[in-house]
Amino acid sequence: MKKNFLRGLVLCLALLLAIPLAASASVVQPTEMFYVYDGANVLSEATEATIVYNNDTLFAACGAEIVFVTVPSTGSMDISDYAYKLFNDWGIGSAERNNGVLILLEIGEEEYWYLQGSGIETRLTTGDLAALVDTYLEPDFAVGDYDAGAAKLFEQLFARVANIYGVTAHYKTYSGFTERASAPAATAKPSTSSSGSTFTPQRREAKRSGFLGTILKWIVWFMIINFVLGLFKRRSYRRRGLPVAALGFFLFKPWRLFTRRASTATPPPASGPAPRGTGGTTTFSSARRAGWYAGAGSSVVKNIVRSSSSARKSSGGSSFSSSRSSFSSGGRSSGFGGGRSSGGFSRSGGGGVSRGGGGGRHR
Amino acid sequence: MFKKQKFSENRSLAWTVFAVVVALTVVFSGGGALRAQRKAAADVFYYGVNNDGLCISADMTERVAAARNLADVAGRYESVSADLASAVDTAADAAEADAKSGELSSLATQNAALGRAVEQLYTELENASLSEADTTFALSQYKEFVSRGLTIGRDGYNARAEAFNETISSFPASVVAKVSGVGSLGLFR
Repeated sequence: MKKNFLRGLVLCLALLLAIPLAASASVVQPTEMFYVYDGANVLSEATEATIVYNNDTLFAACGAEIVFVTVPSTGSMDISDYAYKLFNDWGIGSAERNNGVLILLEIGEEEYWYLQGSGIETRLTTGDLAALVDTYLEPDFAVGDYDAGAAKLFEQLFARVANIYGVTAHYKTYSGFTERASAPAATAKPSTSSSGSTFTPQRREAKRSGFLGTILKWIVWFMIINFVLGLFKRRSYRRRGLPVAALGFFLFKPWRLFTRRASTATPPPASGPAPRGTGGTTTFSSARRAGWYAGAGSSVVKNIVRSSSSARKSSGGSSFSSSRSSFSSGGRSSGFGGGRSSGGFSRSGGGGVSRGGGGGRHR
Repeated sequence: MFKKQKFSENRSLAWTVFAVVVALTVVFSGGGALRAQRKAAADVFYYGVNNDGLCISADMTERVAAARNLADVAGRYESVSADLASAVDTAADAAEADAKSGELSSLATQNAALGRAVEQLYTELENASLSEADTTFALSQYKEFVSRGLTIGRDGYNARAEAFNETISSFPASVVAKVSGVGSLGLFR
């Protein structure tokens, strides 16, 4: 009874410790739209569509990505640290050119932060960004018209970045996501390097954790703890010559922590120390138990692992109909925990990084 | 009667030679290893983590330039204290001198001093009646200055310098470092 209580206590403590680990300083995850995340719900659909569709054009032309993120709060993180982590977690901009730009609006504190990739920081300096933000975002931001400020700033950033790379990308405003044509609206000429070769930006696999990912982490932790606690029963099973390490997972039955011990798991009759691995003079019941552990046990473990990995894969590809109507043949759907859209336009970070400078309206 | 020992049979002399050889080995090879580790960290300061020029050295150059631009703007207005602008110029000169001589520890100190001087100057500039062009220019230079400071603080050099400083502060590396004259590296955060 006391042993069960101690095991239960250890398990509860371990789970409690896992909670802060799971909830440790983290930033929001990108949605399938990637280029805009309106967590504070201050941007109109027209602005979001304009940002998303024009970014498609820009990325195709030169790999640049201009991402707008609004959040009610950055939590305990400083806005500059939050922006830095978000930029590198999302991989904004192409990996080859590191030419992403992030505009983060923290509505609750009425602050914002702008940050550019390491590959563009010499041509679009923080000073340049400061001047643009001060002219096109700040006046509207100060009076609470975040949507207007974001729209104006995005247009200017689009023009500036396109100019930096010398691409002919036509900016277009959209009234909503339903207006999208099947092909990118702008005729963006792919940028070419001085050697004449065409630059083709690559997208990286989107990093998604989401709700299912968190559940899977908890399951893995639970299995690990279960395995470790089960090893406490090694002594009695070692006498019987059973491979303890492989059996660890099955030796600890957590449901018994809170119920009276049933009589099923009775220890084998003590018939003296049996040589390890030889079987010796084991009884029929212990031999059958050994067979179950040695044969079916390992396959049960394999099945658990297999179903976890398939669940992970299905979280990346599964979809449910979003509130917005689909476009083109593939349709646009939001994955559970994010991921690529089913058959349509795929948006994700190009893998760009930032060195963490930037500036903003920050007390 | 005291018997004169042969040179090759002199135990005391042998121990003395042994001690000298050990000391020289420790100083030269141990000190050499520490010097190599220090140089590796310093190279990141000058050339970047990926050897791509994105480094603190380049950031410091831009940061000092932005500071001097702010001092220039301040110099055009009598309402802004000349002492503040002068303090920025002095700190910028000291930082440039340290950068040139490779005194990274001193440069880290000067960088912090420059940051304080610029903060004081910009606070006064914000309250002064500047022209629209100068207001925009001062804002952009200040943001550039702060941005470079953040980038410098996050640079990979700092982690390497910190690891090196920890190494030479622990025994017996601390003894070798002292004997070999290998000093610690400045941290820019």
